[in-house]
Amino acid sequence: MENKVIISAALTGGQSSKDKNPNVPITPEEIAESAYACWKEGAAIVHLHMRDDAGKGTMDRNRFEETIKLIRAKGSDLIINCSNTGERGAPWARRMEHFKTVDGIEIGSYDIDTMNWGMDWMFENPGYFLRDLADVYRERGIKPEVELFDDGMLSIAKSYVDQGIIQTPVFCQFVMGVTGGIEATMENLQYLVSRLPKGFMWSCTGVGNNHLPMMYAALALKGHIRVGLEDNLYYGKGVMASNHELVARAVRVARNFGRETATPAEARTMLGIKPFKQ
Amino acid sequence: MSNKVIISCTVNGCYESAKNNSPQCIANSVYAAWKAGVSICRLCINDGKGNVLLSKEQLVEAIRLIREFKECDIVIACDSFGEASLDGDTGATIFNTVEGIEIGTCTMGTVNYEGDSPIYNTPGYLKELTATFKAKNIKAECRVLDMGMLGNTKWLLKSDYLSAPLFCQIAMGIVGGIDDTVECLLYIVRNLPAGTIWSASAAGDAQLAIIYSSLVMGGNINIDLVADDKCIDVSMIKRAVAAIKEFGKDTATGAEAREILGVTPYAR
Repeated sequence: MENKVIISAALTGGQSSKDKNPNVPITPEEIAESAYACWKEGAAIVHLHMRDDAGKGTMDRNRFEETIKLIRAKGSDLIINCSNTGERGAPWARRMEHFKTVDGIEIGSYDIDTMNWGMDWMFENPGYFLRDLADVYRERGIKPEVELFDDGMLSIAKSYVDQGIIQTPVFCQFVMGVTGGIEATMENLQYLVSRLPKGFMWSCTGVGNNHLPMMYAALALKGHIRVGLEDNLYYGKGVMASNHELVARAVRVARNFGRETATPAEARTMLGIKPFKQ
Repeated sequence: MSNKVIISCTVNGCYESAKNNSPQCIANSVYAAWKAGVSICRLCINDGKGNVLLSKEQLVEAIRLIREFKECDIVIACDSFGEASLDGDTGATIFNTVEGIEIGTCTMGTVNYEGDSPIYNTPGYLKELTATFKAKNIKAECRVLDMGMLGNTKWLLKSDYLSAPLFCQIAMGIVGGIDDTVECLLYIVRNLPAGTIWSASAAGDAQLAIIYSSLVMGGNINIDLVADDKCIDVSMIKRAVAAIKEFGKDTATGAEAREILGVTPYAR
């Protein structure tokens, strides 16, 4: 299983605009349909954000619940990964509510630092919130996905492991190329990966047109990959993507490299997540 | 042209000896490589250990046979792995007397190849060879196995034996050379003079990692093959082409590779 690559599909995100790319899934039905299509192509994990009726990011726990039900109704064993962000200014408790009250969430995003996002807004994740969130994840059997936007964040992840706030194996998602975070270069990814201690698994995504370079870089460095319209709206220059097309390409590129994709069941084993029960 | 990736390919193995080094086998291999997406073929004339891979007559015949494929505009490179003499012909005399060589590949220093016998490329030989390239309007392809060889290359550039932009082939994973890791590739590439056109190659497990990393870093791809019986196996070339196309780039044609490298356009 060592050589298998886990493909995560980040379907919607908090900001990707349906006006720019009509394929961005917004409603629970659209998200469930896109998730299923991604699973068919070879994704093991779907990373979910919710939107309200106006298309704005929301932490509405009912939306998460409905979407997960719809995904499961279609019959896939996808790993469900939910974000704790997307609604600007949401109180701490609201960012955790779905993890506490909605069943079936297997991975929860864990953005381990506060940062200036795109010189636009504050992405706030203070330590007291992160400690509470880690408690919720532990109580609910949810695996944290440590999203790392910068090299400094890695030192926090290491310190949280030392303090017992999060446990190994740690699943890291390097999100590269966000202004305010580390630039998406081969050199930077190699540097980050070389600094991971034992017990840290990693995946990578590059935002915008860093999408393909970081996919190739991650494959070369033996990591896992994330694709999807949350990170990148385009398939190629001037060509709009859909989630399942991005997954299909990632699968082809991985196979061409000589790496098969992990099934959701295999990915659960690799990540230390309980087997799926319908 | 920034969207074009050059795939170069040795068709008669400088590292392991080909079973069939006949000019016809070489021409068949070159044509198959070109069909698969290669824009520069490399014919290896010696293995650097004193073994002739292609005699001068065989080389002349191979070039003639390659050019008989009328639609094929592949760039022809000729490779002197080391300075060991070839039936009395050194690499320099070959490059001086054989027509139709567009690129001259040379290893930019001396190394105990695989920790064993030295492959000599002495200062005198490298000066002679690069001076010959200049005189014959042959573009130098500088094979760099480690940082020391890159230092020799930079010295030759500074001393006007070589002209900018350099064309470097980073050959990785040979005992006596740099390891075939992404980290080592980053390290070498960071030290190339600005504007250098480069390719990288590795064998075995690292080969795809180096191909994928090179694409990310704006490099080109080199693949070293050996004809099995009548022709090379082009499957690795096909994988490189697939990687390039999925990346949103395309393979350079022979004409485009000449333009990128500043090689005189090919005219029949």
